[in-house]
Amino acid sequence: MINIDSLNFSYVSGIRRSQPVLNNLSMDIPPGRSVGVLGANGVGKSTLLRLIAGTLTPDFASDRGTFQVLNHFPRDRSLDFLQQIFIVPESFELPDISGHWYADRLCGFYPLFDAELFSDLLQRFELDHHHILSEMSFGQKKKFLVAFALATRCPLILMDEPTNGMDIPSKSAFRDAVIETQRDDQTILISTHQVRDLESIIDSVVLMNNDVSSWVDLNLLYQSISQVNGDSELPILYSETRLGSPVSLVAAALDNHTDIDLELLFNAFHYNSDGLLNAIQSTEANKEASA
Amino acid sequence: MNVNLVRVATYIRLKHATESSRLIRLISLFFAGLCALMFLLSSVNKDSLSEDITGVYGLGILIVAVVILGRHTFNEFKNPLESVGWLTLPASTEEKWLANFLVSFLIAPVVYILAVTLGSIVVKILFISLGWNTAFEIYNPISASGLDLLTGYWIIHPVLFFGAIYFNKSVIMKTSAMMAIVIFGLLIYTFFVGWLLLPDVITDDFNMYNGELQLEWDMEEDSGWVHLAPTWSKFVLKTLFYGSFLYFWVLSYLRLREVDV
Repeated sequence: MINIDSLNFSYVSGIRRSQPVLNNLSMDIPPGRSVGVLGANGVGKSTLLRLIAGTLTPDFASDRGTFQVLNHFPRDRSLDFLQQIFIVPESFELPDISGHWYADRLCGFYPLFDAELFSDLLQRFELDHHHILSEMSFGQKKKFLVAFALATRCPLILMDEPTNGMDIPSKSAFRDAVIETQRDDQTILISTHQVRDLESIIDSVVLMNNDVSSWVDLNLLYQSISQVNGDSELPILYSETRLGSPVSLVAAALDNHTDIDLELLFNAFHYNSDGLLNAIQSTEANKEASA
Repeated sequence: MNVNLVRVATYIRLKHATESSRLIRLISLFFAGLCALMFLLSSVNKDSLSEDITGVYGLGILIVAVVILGRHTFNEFKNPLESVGWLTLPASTEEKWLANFLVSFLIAPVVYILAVTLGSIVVKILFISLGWNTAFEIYNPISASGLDLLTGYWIIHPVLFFGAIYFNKSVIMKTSAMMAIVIFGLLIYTFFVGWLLLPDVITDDFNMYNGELQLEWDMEEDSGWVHLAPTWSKFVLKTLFYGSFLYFWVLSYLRLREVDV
């Protein structure tokens, strides 16, 4: 679905490129996954989504084979590619017309658009499609665009901070909508700071910082690391105190493993990315060796 | 080349749907202004024919060029908050270019000519209903005057169309300044090359015309200028002229392909 090998990107300022935002970024994301893109401010999460959507040109763009999304080089913006992706940007403007009118004209571009699903999602999000879009609140606009994105049935949907501006019931409706509408061959990439909003949705994460990035399958994470409440003698990757008691991520697979808290994982990566990725990769290497 | 005319039409409809209220306000204001101007001019001079107010029509099409090419064309790619959606909209770059081209080159001037015709009908009806006897005539769109208006618009279209995608703001001002610099530079260059290659001719010519620079391409051999076969020179000039249209249109397409956001 998404194959990236040594992707570099720097913004152009005047005639020269600035400091690189993405440096040798590599990852392979298979189809049918719900992926959370996690990283601190400024590591290039939104930039990565835009590169995948083809609205930015990577450095060394001639090396097209190393950056393929849905078997296309995204920056070509070929019709076939654009029909298979939809991006919900972090900030956007919607026009001065009703939601119904807008969607009626826009849906013609998406061959798999499901009008029934769109109508159902609008109801779930408590949106009136006769409402003028520009008069909606920011959260309502986000919900409208998310509903449209899911209704396009595109194989790849990119969402940049989709829950920003949404109230608590809307976040819940958003999670339900993503879980219920996602098809087996559809990949959804969600970039966010609010990791708790994603906990029930995603099955894998892209962990990013300025030096390294990696795609991690959460379903297999328990084979490499575990979350331990209380003191532990196992090699600790990261630990923090919650309600007066330590909660740690340890580099070991425990028999009675619990789900790993996404926020803990994010912090572990933020403060000890090398240790965390080494622990995950060494398990993968051991598995490959034994196989 | 991936062009589907149905998709181009849908693109045009979507783009105009998203700007409908602003566009309707603008067209209504423009139409009202045009009618008022025709009415006023014909009232002041009751013997004036519609041909006499050609200047008004000319000014009108200039305003159309400023509004359409200066503000409307390719504007979907200029606001970063909107352009991500438009860039990722499933239509090929050729279709996005063609949609903007068709609106600015064909639809806008034709709508303007029709608006002028309709406006002149309204004014004529107004005069008749008021019982005023004027020589004002209904504008005939299928006339030499109509063709002149269209030709004038089409001549400035390629450069402004390119300016519309190249510049983000103050398109008309920046494009005009750019063209003025290019033309001025070309004139100086031509004069300089001419002076280097044929100093006598240039000097003689200046003496002959008391310093007035005249460009004449199909003159007689005995005028003191270099002889150029009229047919050949006209062919070269026409090729350069129409070639520049193609050049700017192709350039605008290439520029559109480069747009990132």
